[in-house]
Order: sequence, then structure tokens, then C-alpha cells
Amino acid sequence: MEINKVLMVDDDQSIRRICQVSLSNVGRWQVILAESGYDGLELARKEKPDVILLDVMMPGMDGPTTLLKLREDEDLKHIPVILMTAKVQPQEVEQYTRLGATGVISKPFDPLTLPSEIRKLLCA
Amino acid sequence: MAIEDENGGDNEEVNDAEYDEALDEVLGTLRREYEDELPARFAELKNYLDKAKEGGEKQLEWLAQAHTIAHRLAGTAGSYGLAELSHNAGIFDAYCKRLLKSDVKGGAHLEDWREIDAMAEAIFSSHPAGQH
Repeated sequence: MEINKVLMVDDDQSIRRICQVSLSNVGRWQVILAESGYDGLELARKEKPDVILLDVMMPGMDGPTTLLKLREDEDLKHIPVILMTAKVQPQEVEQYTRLGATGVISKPFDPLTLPSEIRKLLCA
Repeated sequence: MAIEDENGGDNEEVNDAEYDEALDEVLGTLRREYEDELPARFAELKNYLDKAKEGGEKQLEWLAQAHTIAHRLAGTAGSYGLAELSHNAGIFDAYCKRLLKSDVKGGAHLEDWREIDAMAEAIFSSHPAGQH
């Protein structure tokens, strides 16, 4: 699939910063950033991104809850969602996949290879 | 091609080799900015741990705050190339996750604190910002 626009949702500014640089310069994609699940849902409705990267552990609405909201929304349910989390366990990957995630990327990640990891998950 | 910084702003047009060099430079700048923020993060982590050690009804809340900081360090530090810090924060993250899930009634036990202190020290000693 062709990717033009990526929405990245993470409450940690340091992660948003390095993702912005990686996705725009290595992936050559347009990047939209959100710092909470609520903002992420709003921006997803407004921007209709090609893929959404979603942090798991966020205050307020966490990643899995945001994912469920995305999957319940007729206009957004088709957008692939990749969850990002530190030290992911195999049973967690299974759990997130059951919730409708396209895949999981483990943090930390290499900013030089993050876009290819995303492409790989989308093509799997 | 033009390199975008973390604010999404374009710099001047460059060829492939210059592009790689410019990207390295942007990543290097980001890493320095991240490292500049570490003393504040370490101080915050230490503060929450000190509060948690005092006990009281908010003990688990303070420990959960310390856990959140360690969890973030585990995820971010490695992405900025600070592998040892990320690794040690990950150990603390996993330990606190288990401890908090076990719903410790009446506070963490002394041996927990010894372990927590040792793991926190490993985090601080992973980077010059945490060495006194």
C-alpha cells in the first residue's frame, strides 16, 4: 500500500520528535502528531491518515482504548494501526492483534529503519 | 530533497550524500537536546522514589509515577542511541510493572526497596547526567 500521511500518537514529546524526523526524512511521509488518544481520534477524523502509530501506555485514553474507538468508527476502521510499546511480550502482540492492530513495533526503535519496519508490517 | 527538522521545517535543498550527512546532524542535535533533558528526568524519578519510600497511602501512586518515568526512558533512550540507559530503565520498568500488578498491600517490602534502589542506581549510572 502507498503511504503518504502518517499520524503518530504518543504522550512523550521525545518520541514524537524523533518519530517526526524519522518518518519525514527517512520515510518521506507527511507526519501529523498527537499527544493523547483524544487528540489522535480527532486528528484521525480530520486528516484521514494512511496509517496510525499509537503508543500503548498513555494517560487518559491509552493506546488499546484508542484503538477500540478507531475500530468502532465507520470512517476510520479501515486505517491500519500499529501499536508501539517498550518491551513487548508475545502474548501482548496477540492481544493487540485481536483488538484490531495491524502490528506492534517495539520501543526503542532505530529512527533510520522505523519506516521500513512500518512498511513491512503493512505488507505482511 | 530537503531535510526536515523535528518541527517539520525544511532546510536547504541537498543531494543524496549531503542528505545523509544532514540527517545525521539533525539526529545528533536531537540526541543532544534529549541528553540535556535527562538531569530533570532523573531528578523527577528520584523525587518520586523518595516520596514512595516515605510510605503512606500515596505510596503506590508515587511508585506508579516513578514507573511511568522509567517506562518512558526505556522506550526513548534507546531510540536516541543510549542503549545502556534504555536497558537499565527497562529492567526497572518490568520490575515495577510486576510489583504494581501484584497490588502490594501495606507498601513494598524492604527487599523490594533494596532492589528498587539498586535498579534506580543502575539507571543513574548509565549516563553522565545521573552521576553525582
